[in-house]
This record gives sequence, structure tokens and C-alpha cells, in this order.
Amino acid sequence: MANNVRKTTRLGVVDKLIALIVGNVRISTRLAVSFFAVLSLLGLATWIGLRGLDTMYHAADNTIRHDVRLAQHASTIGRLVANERRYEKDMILNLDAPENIGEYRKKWDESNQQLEKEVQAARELDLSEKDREALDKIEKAHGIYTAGMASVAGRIFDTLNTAQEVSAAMEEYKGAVEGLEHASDDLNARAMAKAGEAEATLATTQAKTRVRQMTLAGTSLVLGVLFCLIITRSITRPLRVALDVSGAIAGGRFDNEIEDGSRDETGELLGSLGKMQAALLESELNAKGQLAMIGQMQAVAEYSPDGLLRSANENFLTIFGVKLDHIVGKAHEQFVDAHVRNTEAYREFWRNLQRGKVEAGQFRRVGAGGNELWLQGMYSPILGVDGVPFKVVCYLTDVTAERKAAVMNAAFRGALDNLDANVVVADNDMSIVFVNNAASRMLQAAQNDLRRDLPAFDVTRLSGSKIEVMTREGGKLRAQLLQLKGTSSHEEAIGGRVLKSIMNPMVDSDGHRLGTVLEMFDRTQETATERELQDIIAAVTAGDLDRRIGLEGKTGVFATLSRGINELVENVDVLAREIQALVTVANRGDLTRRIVTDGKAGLLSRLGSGINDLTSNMAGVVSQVKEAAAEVYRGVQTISAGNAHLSSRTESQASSLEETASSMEEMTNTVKHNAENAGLASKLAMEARGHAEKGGAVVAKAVVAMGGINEASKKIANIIGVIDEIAFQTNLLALNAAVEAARAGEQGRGFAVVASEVRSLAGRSAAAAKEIKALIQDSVTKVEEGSGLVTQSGATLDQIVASVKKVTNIVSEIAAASREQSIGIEHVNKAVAQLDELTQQNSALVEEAAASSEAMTQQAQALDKAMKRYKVDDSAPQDAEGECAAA
Amino acid sequence: MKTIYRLVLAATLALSFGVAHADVVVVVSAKSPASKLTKEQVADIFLGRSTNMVPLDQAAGSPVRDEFYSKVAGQTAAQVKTTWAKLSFSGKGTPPKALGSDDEVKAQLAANPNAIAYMDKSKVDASVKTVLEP
Repeated sequence: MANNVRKTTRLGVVDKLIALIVGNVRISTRLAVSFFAVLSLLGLATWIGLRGLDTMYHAADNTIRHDVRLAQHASTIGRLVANERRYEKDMILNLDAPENIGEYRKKWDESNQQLEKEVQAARELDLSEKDREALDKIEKAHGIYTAGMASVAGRIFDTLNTAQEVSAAMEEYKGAVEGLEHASDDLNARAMAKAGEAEATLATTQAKTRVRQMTLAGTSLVLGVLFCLIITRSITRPLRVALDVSGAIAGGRFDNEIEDGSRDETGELLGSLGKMQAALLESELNAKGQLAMIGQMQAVAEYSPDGLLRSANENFLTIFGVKLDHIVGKAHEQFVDAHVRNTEAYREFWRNLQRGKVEAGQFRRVGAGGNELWLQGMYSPILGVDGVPFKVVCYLTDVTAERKAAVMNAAFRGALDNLDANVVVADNDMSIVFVNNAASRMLQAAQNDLRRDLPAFDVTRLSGSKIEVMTREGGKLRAQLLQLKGTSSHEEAIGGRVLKSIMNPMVDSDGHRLGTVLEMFDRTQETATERELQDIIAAVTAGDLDRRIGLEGKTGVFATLSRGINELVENVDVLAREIQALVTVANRGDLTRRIVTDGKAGLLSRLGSGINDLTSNMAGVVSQVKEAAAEVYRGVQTISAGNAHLSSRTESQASSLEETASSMEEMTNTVKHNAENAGLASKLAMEARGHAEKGGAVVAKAVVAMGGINEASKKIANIIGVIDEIAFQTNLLALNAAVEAARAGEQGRGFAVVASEVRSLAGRSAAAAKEIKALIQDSVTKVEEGSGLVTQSGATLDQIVASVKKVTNIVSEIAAASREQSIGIEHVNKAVAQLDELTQQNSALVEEAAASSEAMTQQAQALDKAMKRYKVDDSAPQDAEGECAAA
Repeated sequence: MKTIYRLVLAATLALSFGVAHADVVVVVSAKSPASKLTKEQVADIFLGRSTNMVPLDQAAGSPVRDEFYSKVAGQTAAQVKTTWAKLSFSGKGTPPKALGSDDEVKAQLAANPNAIAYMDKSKVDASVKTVLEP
């Protein structure tokens, strides 16, 4: 089997060769290189194919673009020149129908231009020398033909008169047309021949490209397959080796030879396998060594599953004090007490082992000579592949001595637990190793308070915790414990509790420190009482007597002390309160209150009675003042009433005087008015006199004027008499003239007319003179009447003047009387004013007196009221106002 | 007998009247800007020497046509034809369009203000205006 494995793990010659070639290249690199090579070939093949296509495309393109197009142009040129000839003939045939010629001429022109365009288009192609020459020829021939056409057209109906003649003329250019046709045919034939050549080129290129591509594809295929084979083999062979090695290791063989063939991933895999094999080998050796070690340290014995001893090591025999020969093949029960052998527990012990369960712990066993042994360790069933134990192995250590020490230790613990003192023990690591019952109770009671500062504090988990769980000053306490030489103490407030620990070091017989014993005290109550006492003394000192020490939870000396202090404060407080109450009511006016002196002793009693005396004396003084105040009040009331009467009388006097003064004022005004009126009347009378005197003078002048008028009237009457006379004379003269005219006959006729006219004028003058005379007479009469009347009015005016003089005198007298009256009244006025002033002064004095008596009344009232506040006996305080009203 | 006499008289009158009044006039559309033209201008237009206006011909062989060309260009119908044949052959123009009736002439004139034509004076109406009376 081993040989077989060895064969399969070897690499074949081919593989070694492959490994030599590619072994140092990583698989990923290998794959990448292969793919790259194949892809490169593929790329090359594609490039060649594309190049072949390109060549073909160029050949085809050239053909289509040049040769075929040139052939097309050439054949089009041939067709167009034929068209031109046709339209030319049509024109000639229609010579006698000029309206048809135009159409053909137009077509001819179009063909002509089209042909030139074709030639130009052909020239733009990539042409050979021959082609170019052919095109030149075509162009030249066409030029000749076109010029000929123009020449013939110019001669029509000049020298060429019939269609035959014209046609003959055109024959001259037929040669040029034929040359053109030849040239175009030539060109066409050459171009077609070239196109044929291109076809052959295409076929050759296609064949060449195909061969190249096929070759390359073949090469790529072969290379690809080769790479594939090499890579696959280079990976699978080492993997097979790795598989074989893994199988061998699984089979428990750790000495497999592993070739370090390559540095690729499979090489790494084999390397790792080698390392794994080495590690497994080491761990196996390790396990074996350890087992041997256990055998040296511990008592080891092997039993059959039914409890018969199979073997035991030297340690086992030494501990039990037996020889192997005496115990082999005997049952396990030889090592247990006789009374245990048949117990259910012992039988269960072996049943468990037979079921495959490990039994561990401390076991009591019996050595040679009934020697008691305590063994610690385990009985371990070793299971077969079917899961059933085929043997039981025990690994045991002798712990008899430790066991005894532990028992002793427990006894100490029990004793400590029963102490009243609170004891906690810590080891050198500052771990709490013991808490006695008293300490547990104390800490349990304080636990809720302690948790305020130490939230994690838990009495039940105290054992095994570090000492820091019980304190807020862990660092300090630890340092103190570490340096501890003798007794020391530590006190600290935690969560409102005050805990004190008295610490002592524990030292063994060799002087080594084993730990620390802490005796703990809950000093909370003590400390609290101290603080309360301090507080109450401070409060009393500050005058606060309300506070007392709480007695709840206090016991013994704390309770007694607290009660005594409370009583002391109470006594002082009672007296202080009584005094305060007395002062309070006295302040409100009640002087009847007294302090109870019964039950008070010494200074307190004397203080009470002294205050009572003071109050009584004050009450006496108040009573006397009260009576005096009432008397004063009554007197003031009387004065006040007298003043009021006087005041009212003075006021009425003052008002009478005021009325008198105003009457005098009115009278003065009236008299003044009278005097003024009298003056005015006198002045008016004087004026009237002046006017009357002026009137008299005017009347006198009027009388004189009247006399003048009268005179003048008489003179006018005389003048009128003269006029009347002249009129009469004229009348006569006119009569005479009339007569004379009558005598003169015919010659005097005109004169006679004048004379009659003069006569009538004279008559009219006479009549007018008579009328004026009468009028003058009338006015003279009226003037005389006026004169008389004026004289009368002059007399009347004189009488008026005299009367007015009398009136003036009377009025002057009245005015003088009035002035005197006015002066008299002025004197009366002054007297009244003086009287008024005096009265006013009186009135002011009376008012002052009234105000003073009023103020006095108020003060008396206030005094009375103030006194009424005080209650000096048990009767109710009287109504102050009621008493005033009575007074 | 009396009727025949009357007819003969009327025919004589009509004939003498027609001969006497076979006056051709050159016309354009009433909308045309042209007003008066000389004989030479008209001849140039109708014989392809000027292309300023579009000439319209009457029917070939009609008396008015012959009269027009003889009066205006001093040419016979045959001469006109050869002139146009020569022009057409050398591509310098096409003969005017020959129209069948005066109404057709008027319609063409109305449609094309640049056209010019000729007709018997008696056919002239408001749609055309006379530019030359040769």
C-alpha cells in the first residue's frame, strides 16, 4: 500500500518537462499568455482579411468610378452626336415651315450643350494619355461641326435657297462628325476593356486573402490546442499529487515525501500540504509527551468498563501504598469504604461511566491499611468507534492534606459568623474573601442608602469582589491597606451612612502577610445626632426656638441627651412666646394681658412679673391722659361754636357794605351822566342861537334884494312901452308904403308885398310887448308880497334868538349843579370803602380764630382717639366719636 | 326686279365701302404702357429684330396680314417667311404665333400687356389701344 501511494505521488517525465518549462510561471500568467497569443493570431488573421477586403474594394471602386463611367460618357457622346445630326436634318426638311424649325433648333442646341458637358465630365476622371487624346479629338470635331452649322445657317436664303442646297452644304462637315463617332467608340471600347481587367484583379485578391486567412486560422487552432493541453496538464497533475498526499495524511501517515516541483499555485498547494503534515506530526508528538507528563504528575489507572483494574502507574501505587500484583484484576470497590460499596450512589457512579459520562470531583478512597485518602480528579470513559466505552481511565491527585485544612478553615468561619462584631476579611489582592453574618446584616440594612453613592453595591455578591466596591475612596483605602502595619481605621460617609472600619493585618507564622481583617461600625446615628445638636445650638443662638431634635430612631444616650436639650429649648421658647404675645397686644392697645408666672422658676419667673408690673404702670398713665384729653376736647368745642357765630355776623355785615358801595357807584354814574347831558344841551342851545342870528341877517338881505327886483321891474316896463311905440310907428310906415306901392302900379307890386309883411311883423311886436307888460306887472305884485313875508320872518327869528339865550343860561346852571352833586357822592364812596376794608379785616381775624379752634378740636379728638385704643381694664374700649357728640 | 336692283346696289355700296375702308392698325392691350410706335419699331418687332415686345400674327394668307406686312415692313408674305426661316435655322428666334380670329387676338392682348398685334380698324374696341395707323 505504501509503495502504491508513493508511485502515484510522483510526477511523470512529461509532467516534469512541462514543470521545467512553465513551472515557474503562475497559472494566471500562463492563462493570460496563452489567451494573448491566440488572440494575437486572431487579430493578425482579421487584419489580413481586412487588408484583402480593402484591396478588393479599391479595385472595384476604381473600375466603377473610372472605367465604367468613362465608357458611359463615351457611349453618351456617340448618342448625342447622332441626335444632333437628326435634328439638323429635321430643320432642313422644314425650311418652308419656319414655325417648326424653332423646336428642332432648340433640341439641337440642348444635345450640343449636353455633349460638351459630357466631354467635361469625362475629363474630370483619372484618364490615361490615350483617353485624353481621344477626348481632345472629340472636342475638336464637335467644334468644327458646330461652327459649320452656324455658317450654313448664316447663308440660308442668301446662297442656299433649297433644302437640297442646304443639305449639300452640311455634307462638308460630315467627316468631322464621323471622326467624333470613331473617337467615342474607341474610348468606350478601351474603358470596357479596363473594367474587364478589374474583374480579374478582384478574383486574384480574393483567392490570396482566403489562403492567408485559412493558414492563420489553422495555426491559431493548433497553438490554442497545444496551450490548452500544456496548461491543463500542468494544473491537473500536481493536483492529483496533492490529492494523494491528503489521503495519506488522513490515513495517519505524516512522513509522505512531497516534491517541491514548481513555484506556481499548485506548487504552493503542495508546499502548504508539506507544512500541514509537519504541523500535524508535531501536534501528535506533543500529545504523546503530554500524556507521559500527566502519568508522571498524577495517579493514573485503567479499568475495564465493568470496574476491574487493568493497570496503574507508579504514582497510583505510591498514593494507595499497594503493589500492582495485589490489585490487578480486582474490582474498583477495593478502594472504597465497605459501607459505601453497596450504596445506590456508588452503583450510579459506575453506571454513569458505562454510559460514557465523565465523573469529576473529589473522591474519598481507602488506601492500604484503611488509610483515609481524598483524591481530586476525574474518571474518564474512553469511547470506541461505536460510541460505547471500552475502558475507563482515572487521573487523580492526592488532596487529603488540603481537605483537612479546608475543614479547619470552615470551622473558623463558623465561629466568626456567630460574632456580634461586623467582620470582613480581604486577601492580599484586596479581594473580599469573607463577610460574617453580623457584617452582612449591617450592610444589608444600609444597602439602599449605600447604593445612592455606590449603585453597584450588592451584599450578596460581596464575597470575591474587590474591596473598592465598599468605598468611594478606593485608591486611598487600598494604599492604606497595603501599607498597613498595625491597627488603623478608616471612616467615610456613603449614601448618607457613616461607616467606620478598624483594620488589622493578618500575618501567618512566617510573618507573611495573608490579608486584612476589617471590623466595621455603622456610625450613622452617632454622627447624625452630633450634627443635629450642632444645628439646634446654632438655631437657638440665631434666635430660632422652634426647632427640636427628632427622637425617632434614637436610642440610649442619644435619646436622653436629645430629650434634655428639647426641654431646655421648650422652657425658654414658652416664656419668649408669652412676652412676644403680651408686647403684640400692648402694641395694639390692650394693656390688660399678663404673663403667667406659675410653673416658672428663678430668673424666668422674675422676668415675667417685672414685665407684668411695667404693663400695669403704663395702663395707669394711659387712664389719666385719657380723662385730661376728654376735658380739653369739651373746652375746644365751646370756643369753636362762639367763633362760628362771630364769623357769620361779620360776613353779613360785609355783604351789606358791599351792597351800599355798589348803590353809591350807580348814583355817581347817574349824576355824571346828568352833568354831561346838561353840558351837551347848553352847547346845542348856543348853536341854535348862532343859527337864528344868521337867519335874521339873511332875511334882511332878502328884503333889500326884493326892493332891487321891484326897481328893475319898473325899468323893464318902461322899455316895453318904448318897444310898443316903435311897433306902432312901423305899422304906419308900412301902411304908407303899401299905398305908395299901389300907386306905382305894376312896378310897385313887389314892394307892396314887402310892406304887408312888415305890417304883420309890427303887429306881432305890439302884441308881444303887451304880453310882457302884463307879466312884468304880475311879478312886481308878487315881489311886493315876498318882501312883506321876509320882513315878518325876520321878526320871528329875533324872538327865537332871545328864547334860545334864556335856555342856554338855564342849562349852564343845571351842569354846574350836577358837578357839585358828583363831588359829594365821591366823598360818600370813599367813606364806604374804608368801612368795607375794616369789615374785611374783621372777617379774616374771625376766620383765623375759627380755623385755630377747629385744629384744636381735631387734635383733641386725635388725642382722645389715641387714648381710646388703650384697654386698661376689662371693659370694652369706648366709641370716641360718640363721646365727642355728647360734649 | 326691284329686289334685285336693291341687292346690286347694296353689294356695290358694300364693296366700294369695304375696299375703301380696309385699314389695318397696330394695337396693344389697353393696359399696356406703350402709347405710340413708329413703322420701323413695329417692323423690327414683327421681323425678329427686336424682342422688346411679343408680336401676335393673324392667320397666314388673311388679307389683313398681307396688308400689315406690306404697309409696315414693305415685304410680301413669302419674304417674311424666308426671314423667319433664316432666323429659326440659326436659332435666333421663332416666328410670331398665328391666331385664327380678332377675338383671339384681343384675348391674348388682354392676357399679356407686353403683347402687340394688328387688326382691321373697324375691330378696334375699348380693350385695345391703337399705337400706329400706317
